[in-house]
Amino acid sequence: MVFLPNAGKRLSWRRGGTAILLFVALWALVAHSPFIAEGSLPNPWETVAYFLAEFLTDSGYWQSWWVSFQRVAYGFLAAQLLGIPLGLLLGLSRRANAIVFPVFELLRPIPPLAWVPLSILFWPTTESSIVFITTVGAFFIIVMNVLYGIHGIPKQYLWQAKSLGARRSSVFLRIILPAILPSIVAGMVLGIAVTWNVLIAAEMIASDSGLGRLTWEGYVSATPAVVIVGMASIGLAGVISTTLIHLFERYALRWRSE
Amino acid sequence: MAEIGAEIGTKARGSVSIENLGKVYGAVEKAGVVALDHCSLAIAPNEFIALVGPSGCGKSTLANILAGFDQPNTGSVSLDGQIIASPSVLAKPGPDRVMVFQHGALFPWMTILDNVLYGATRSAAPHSDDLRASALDLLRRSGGLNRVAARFPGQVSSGMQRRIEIVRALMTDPAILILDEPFRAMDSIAKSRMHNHVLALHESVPKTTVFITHDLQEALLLADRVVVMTTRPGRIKQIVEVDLPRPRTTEVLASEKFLALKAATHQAVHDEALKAFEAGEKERA
Repeated sequence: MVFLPNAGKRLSWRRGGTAILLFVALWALVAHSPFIAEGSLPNPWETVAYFLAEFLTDSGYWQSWWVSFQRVAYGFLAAQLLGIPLGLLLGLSRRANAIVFPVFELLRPIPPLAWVPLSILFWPTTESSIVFITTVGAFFIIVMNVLYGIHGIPKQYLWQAKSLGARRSSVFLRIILPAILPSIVAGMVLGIAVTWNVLIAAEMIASDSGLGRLTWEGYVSATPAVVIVGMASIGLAGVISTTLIHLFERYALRWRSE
Repeated sequence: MAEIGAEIGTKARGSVSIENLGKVYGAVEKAGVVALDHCSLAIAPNEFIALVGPSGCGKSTLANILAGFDQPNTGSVSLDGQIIASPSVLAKPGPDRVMVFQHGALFPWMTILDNVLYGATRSAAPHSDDLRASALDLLRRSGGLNRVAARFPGQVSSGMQRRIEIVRALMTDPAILILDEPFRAMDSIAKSRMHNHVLALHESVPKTTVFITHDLQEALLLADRVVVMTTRPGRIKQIVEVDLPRPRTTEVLASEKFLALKAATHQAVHDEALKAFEAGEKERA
């Protein structure tokens, strides 16, 4: 079965390290090139020095991490908790599909960020509106993945279960759910990336905390080092969340490893 | 022997009576495809029947009706005196008529032991320890498969997978075991090992078995009777009694008796295959 190329596979550390070193060298080169205005792009070690001096021991910085991670976790989990059952309902009940799917299809093309104004007006706190927007980001992806997962269940599994005399509840719990688990995990991998995307933009627009806000403040105060530290932090946060998802994948889909 | 059992009223399970069975796909008035036409056949308990014919001759339709996945337009099928399929009756597919499908259907997310127990635990949850023991025993007798019981299906060979599927089917103690071309995709060595396995298993766990194949040699080797079917309409052309002694192994393939039987039956199957081939050419022309 085709899946993400690096899923479950250990990165080669030597190659990975070389690639990162090359990237840092390229960054330094660009920072010192004559085309870049003096002071508009700090080089790697200036950035690191800035980070060590200003952020490492700054509780506000770590607070930004914590706030953003919390929002991603809530938004992502809410998207799973709402999206998986809805996907199952749409995939398994023809009637529910006929009633709900047209509305779903109408809402799906609306970009998550287009929900920002309504969300701020509607939800009582900034926090709840930001979590809502991040939920929207992953929600449609997970629903579609569950839906396609159900349509993709090989018919012979369902026939075989019936032939063995399985009850409906057993077919649902022990055949349908595990059969769509790869689709759910694929939805999670895509969903977590979108969640971070949406969160950072939402924080820049609507929040006074979080890594997105930190990066935006770097821009407002014309401090490129802050912007870069913010961006690097967001990148790192994304890697950490994806790693967590892959750990879950390796456990939940261990039957797929040969 | 089975008939005697029925006469004296012992509870021999798995006697099947197929009467005048017919199945048309598509609208009858628009001359739909006649998959089955006037098929009648009585199967004794524990008898091994092979259905032979070219693809599209309706043998899978017959198997699907037997298993409860399809409903006939005319006629009926009874199992142990009870009608299970007719134009007005469609008993749900269930563990009394288990089908092993052409393309394997082990559940890849369950361990081999869980796969084998899947159908069986349905009704006998309180005795799950006994059930596990008998599952492991049956796996062991199927060529030491108990050693791979904790693995997932993707981690064993395709021959093992087919044997596991048969064990799983037997664990529900079915009245009929339906095998739909189970060894179709296997190479000849693996296939002949599977043949010996099925022959030995039929000795130790006898079941009424309906084995579907397009391979006449395989049919004659395994079955008590071989039913040769015609193509569109699917009718029973000939029923061949295979009076080779049991227990059998693949060694019987070289015997005079087997070769004579094969020669006598070959023409009938060959004619049908040719007819099916020509019909296919005509359809595409």
